[in-house]
Amino acid sequence: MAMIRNLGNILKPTLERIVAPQVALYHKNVIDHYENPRNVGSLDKNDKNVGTGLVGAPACGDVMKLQIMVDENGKIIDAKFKTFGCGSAIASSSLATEWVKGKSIDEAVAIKNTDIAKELCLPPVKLHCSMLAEDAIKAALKDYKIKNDPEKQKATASV
Amino acid sequence: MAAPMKVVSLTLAPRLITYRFQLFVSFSRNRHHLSVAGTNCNIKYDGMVSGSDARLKPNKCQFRARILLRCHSGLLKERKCWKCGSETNNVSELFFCNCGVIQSIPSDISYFQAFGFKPDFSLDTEALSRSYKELQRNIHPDKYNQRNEELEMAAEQSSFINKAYFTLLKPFSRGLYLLEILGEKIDEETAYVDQDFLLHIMEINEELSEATDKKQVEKIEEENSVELKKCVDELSETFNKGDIQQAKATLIRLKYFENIDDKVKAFYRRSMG
Repeated sequence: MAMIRNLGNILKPTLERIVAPQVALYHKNVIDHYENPRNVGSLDKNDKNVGTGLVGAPACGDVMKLQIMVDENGKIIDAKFKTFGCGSAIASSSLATEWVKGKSIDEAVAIKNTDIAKELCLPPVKLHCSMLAEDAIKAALKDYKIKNDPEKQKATASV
Repeated sequence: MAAPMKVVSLTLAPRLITYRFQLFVSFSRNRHHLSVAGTNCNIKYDGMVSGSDARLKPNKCQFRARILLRCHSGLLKERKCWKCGSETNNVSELFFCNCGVIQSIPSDISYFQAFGFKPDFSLDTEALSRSYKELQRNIHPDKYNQRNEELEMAAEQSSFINKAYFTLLKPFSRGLYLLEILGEKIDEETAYVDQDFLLHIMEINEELSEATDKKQVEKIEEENSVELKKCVDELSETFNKGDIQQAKATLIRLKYFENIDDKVKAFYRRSMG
């Protein structure tokens, strides 16, 4: 009887080694961002200094919102996101907000999805999640630029 | 009046047909009339091209879509029973030869054909389920335990039927599969920029993730089921018309609503413990 009970303990390390790779489908960096997402929330989208990017992934039905707050020197001082989708999409947008913070808008534009994918060790089938995050950054920056473009403002004011 | 005969080489979707057909297409521009006849097959299509199709140049893709919607079961390659050697009817003897022996699955068969349906979005899911259960009863590998030759075929068929059934059962996967047959797909590059729609989806998701009360979730579910039904009805109509691009756009919307439905169900599971 005792032997049978011990058998579990003896086998445990072996079993864990066999089972572990099947459980750990996501890299630890993804799980970290997924379990403790950074900068979740919203900024006031009507604020002139806030740029909002809203993007969707049609193939999987994910939706991602990423917002940036820019100070008068063109530096991103705050970023928030909300993502409804898979773990990789959440981790990608969480990482994206971390990266854009403190960068100038020109620097933020240069963030590539491949960098995000590399940092999170995303497998090929999840690469599109990092692409979505890149699109969200670009969309947020574009929204900010449109809001603060004097030409456009005049146009909207006259309408 | 008729424009000169055009020879169009069609490569049909791999799952439906694996070989090329030479099709003779005569196209009369003024009347938007299209007739198609196959040289080495029995495809025949003769009919009007709808407005949206007629505006396009008669190229491969456009014809593919229309023709595929029209022709079904008659397209399979001729087969012989591996046991008795007689020629099997590829519709009535798809799974079993008349001699009672199980047959291997043709590689060029579509999920729709497996159940004897036309490749059509609006399909009777009850009839599908009945057909599925009946087939699985007859081809279940457990029945062929003692017969080595047939066991492998039974296992292969059984797994194929499972895949086919679950693909066709849910509207989204069925639509996606049909889209694939028609040579279109939804991938990551498919642009979707309708901001109002995304905003709407974002709001429902936010509401759902913050909901603690069952009544609140029930309300979301109710509104969502209306949207789901709307999408499904729209898909039946657009696929029927052969408007592939519109079907694709609706399918994307359906995916978002199906995701919300999954989340509603997950909420109920959690609240039940």
